[in-house]
Amino acid sequence: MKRLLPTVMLLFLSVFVCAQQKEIDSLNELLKKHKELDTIRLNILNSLSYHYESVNTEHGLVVSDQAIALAQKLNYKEQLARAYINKANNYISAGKDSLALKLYYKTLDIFNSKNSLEGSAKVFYGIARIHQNWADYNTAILYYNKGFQIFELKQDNLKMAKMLNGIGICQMYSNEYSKAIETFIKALRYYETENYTETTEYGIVLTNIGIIYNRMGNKLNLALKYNEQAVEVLKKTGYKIGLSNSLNNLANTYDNLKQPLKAIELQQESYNICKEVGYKAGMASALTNIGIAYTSVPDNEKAIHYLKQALPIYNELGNKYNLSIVEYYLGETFLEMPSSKSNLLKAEYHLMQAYKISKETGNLQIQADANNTLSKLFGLRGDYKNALEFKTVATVLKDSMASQDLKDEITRLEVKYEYDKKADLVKAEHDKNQALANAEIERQKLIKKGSIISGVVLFLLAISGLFLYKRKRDAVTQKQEAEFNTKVANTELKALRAQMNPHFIFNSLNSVNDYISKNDVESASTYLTKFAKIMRQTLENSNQNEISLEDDLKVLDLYLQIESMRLKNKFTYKIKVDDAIDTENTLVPPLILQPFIENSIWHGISKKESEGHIDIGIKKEGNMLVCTVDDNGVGRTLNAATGSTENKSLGISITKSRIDILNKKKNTNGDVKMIDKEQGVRVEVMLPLQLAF
Amino acid sequence: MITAIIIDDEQHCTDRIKNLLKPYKDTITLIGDFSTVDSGIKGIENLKPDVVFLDVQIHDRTGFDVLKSVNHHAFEVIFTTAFEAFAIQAFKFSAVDYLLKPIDEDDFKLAIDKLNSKIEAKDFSKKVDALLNNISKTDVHKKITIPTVEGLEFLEVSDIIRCEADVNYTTIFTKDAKKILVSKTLKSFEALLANCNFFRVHNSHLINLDYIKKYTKGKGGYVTLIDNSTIEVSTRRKDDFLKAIG
Repeated sequence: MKRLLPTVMLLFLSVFVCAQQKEIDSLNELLKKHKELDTIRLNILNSLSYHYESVNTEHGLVVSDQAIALAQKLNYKEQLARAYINKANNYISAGKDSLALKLYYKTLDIFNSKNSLEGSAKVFYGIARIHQNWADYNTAILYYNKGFQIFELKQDNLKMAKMLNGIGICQMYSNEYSKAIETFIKALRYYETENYTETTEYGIVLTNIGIIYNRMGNKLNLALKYNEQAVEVLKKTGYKIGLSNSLNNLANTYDNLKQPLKAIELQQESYNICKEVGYKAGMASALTNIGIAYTSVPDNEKAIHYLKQALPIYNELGNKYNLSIVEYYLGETFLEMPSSKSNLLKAEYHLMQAYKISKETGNLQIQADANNTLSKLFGLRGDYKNALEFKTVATVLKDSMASQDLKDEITRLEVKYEYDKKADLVKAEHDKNQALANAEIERQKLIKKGSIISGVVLFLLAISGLFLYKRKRDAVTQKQEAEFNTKVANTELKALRAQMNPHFIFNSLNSVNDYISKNDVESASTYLTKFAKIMRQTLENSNQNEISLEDDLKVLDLYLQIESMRLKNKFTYKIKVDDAIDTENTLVPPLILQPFIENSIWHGISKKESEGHIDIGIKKEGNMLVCTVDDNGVGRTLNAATGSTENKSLGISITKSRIDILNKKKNTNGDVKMIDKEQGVRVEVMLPLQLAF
Repeated sequence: MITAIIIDDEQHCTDRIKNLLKPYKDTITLIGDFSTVDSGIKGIENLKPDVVFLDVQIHDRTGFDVLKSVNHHAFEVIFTTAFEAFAIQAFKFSAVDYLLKPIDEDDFKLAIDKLNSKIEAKDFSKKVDALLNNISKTDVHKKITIPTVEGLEFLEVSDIIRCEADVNYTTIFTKDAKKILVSKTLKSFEALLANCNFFRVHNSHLINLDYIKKYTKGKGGYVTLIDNSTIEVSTRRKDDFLKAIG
């Protein structure tokens, strides 16, 4: 029960200028010197009443009345309006709102007639304050907004902030905490824009934010932070009332943080300041809060001591709302005291007072609490009938309050929800920005990578393009070169073949001559016929660089026939072609083997006494065609031994040249090998395997 | 018994054939020899031989004059010639036998063997017509004689689009979309047609270059002929082919 009403909130409204005793003193000096009833005196009076507003309303009212009288006498409307406002402000400070309101309306008429927007705005502000005091927050907000719009038009950031402060307070009272905080923070921003942070106004807004966080209960750390900041700012500005209020709020936060002694200490400080400047509402508030704080120490004697001091002040100020609270706490504290008849009576008295006054103000909480405590009190007395009655009333009040509580709870939850949502939003916004930034970085990276890659690709393309171009150019050059070389080679080959034919022809003619000289007409005729046939084919083949192996072998066969005939069948021969070779599709240079066969016959076999044999073989080895001529003649060594002049055969040298040219032309490695065997010679001619198709 | 006559203006050539015929006296009887065109014509008409050894160049006239003048053609002709390129091509085209002088024993034997194997000479007049036609015409209008299963076929060179090898057979594709299967190698056709703007683009394909519609590049590439057949060109033949169509 004790914690039900832990604080008495004292909110104050910001004032246009800090009240400073010094200023008031100097103004009083000026006033004493300047006795003439002119505009200068009027000005001084107005300034003085303005400064009294927050320091001494009684003086303020007197001075403002003087100002009004003088202004009316001088018929100086602007200053009259100013005087009215000052008086109204002093009324407000004195708690006489309806009187103040009347004055405001009067002022508004003056400003309207003068078309002074700024003046109207000031009046709107005052009207809003009064409605706020009356808890008519919607109307108050309406007037604050009117003022805000005018100041916005004038681009007056400081006054805009002041209007926002008012709106924020109204929103706070309407339990619209998140809206209120938003509004207050907006106000802070306007002050910060103007570098107006070491001022009372700024401190007040901080205080108000602290109050809201304190009320929300779950943001006490933030409350502490804002309240401490407010105290710090206000200490610098020397605005005592403000400082006392902010100390009061800071104390409440500590109270909520269950540090009552720290709270009491701060309240004491607040009280001293209020007393110093004669700020009674502040004093009462501090005393009440100290009292309540002592109930939780608990120190009932001290609690009652302080609470009792608050009572007359609230009575004087006519603040019934707070009065009922003080009465309730007094009653409760007396009930907590050792149960004596006098204590119970005192408790009953104060509780009944609390119930009565709270009924007037419509404070359900106090009504219910008072009834509940009264029920307890009557229970202690054994008066159960009354106890039950009070309990019943309390229950009814509780029920009607429960819905209020529920509403509050819902509001609180809503606030919390909105808070979280806002936090989420902020987080989401941050995340989004972060993501965007990351995406941008990624994009940049990608672009960078992309440009590097495309650069590299372009470079490679250029290189390969150059390479291909060069290769193509080289290929063209090479082709031309090759064509030229081919031409040269072909010419050379033709020339060699041309040499070949007469060589063969004369050998043959020698043979025919041999037959004729031996008078063997028949043989000569046959021989010549064969010779004619071989000549015909040789001539046909000589047009071509290469002929099919089939055709070449036919000629070779014919040649071997002729030679064996001439040597009277002194030798036999065999031509063996590997099955893997397609003679029709394999190309060879014409008559490449002929000189070797001739060599075998004339140098190997003819000198041999017994019958000889020549084997001609055609094989495939890899991509080479290996043609062999194998004889079992006397061989080269014997030739050397017998000392017969080994004329290097013209045919063989020509053939070797042909193969060399062929190698160059086709880029192959054809070769001729002559191997001396035990008996006879073996010649291997390696030719590139060439196919017609 | 086969009867034969010789028409040749050179005595030693006549003697050579007589000598060569000696080993075949059981199968071939020589019933006369003539040294002029006119006497030859008369001899053919009077003696009606089965075979005539006919010289191409007879004084200032030719053996073809003999063939043009004789009325009946129920005989085989074996031309004998030393070196008349134009005539040899005509013989080859018309599938008429010929012997080159000086006549080789082995070649003579082949000719006689062929003669013996021939059952009748019913198509010879056609062959002679083809031969006489080919002697006078330019290459593309020449006719080639093709022995088929049904008998002899005479095809103008310009009618042949392409020839395709099938082991020892060759299929000839003609302009009128006929396919003729011949029991001769592609190589023999290549030898026959090489001078008539034919080209062997592939081991299995001999094409008429006049009938190429399109050549598509590739490793060897391929040609599309007017009958829309596509023929692969052998890689090794590509360069020569391009030169040939160049």
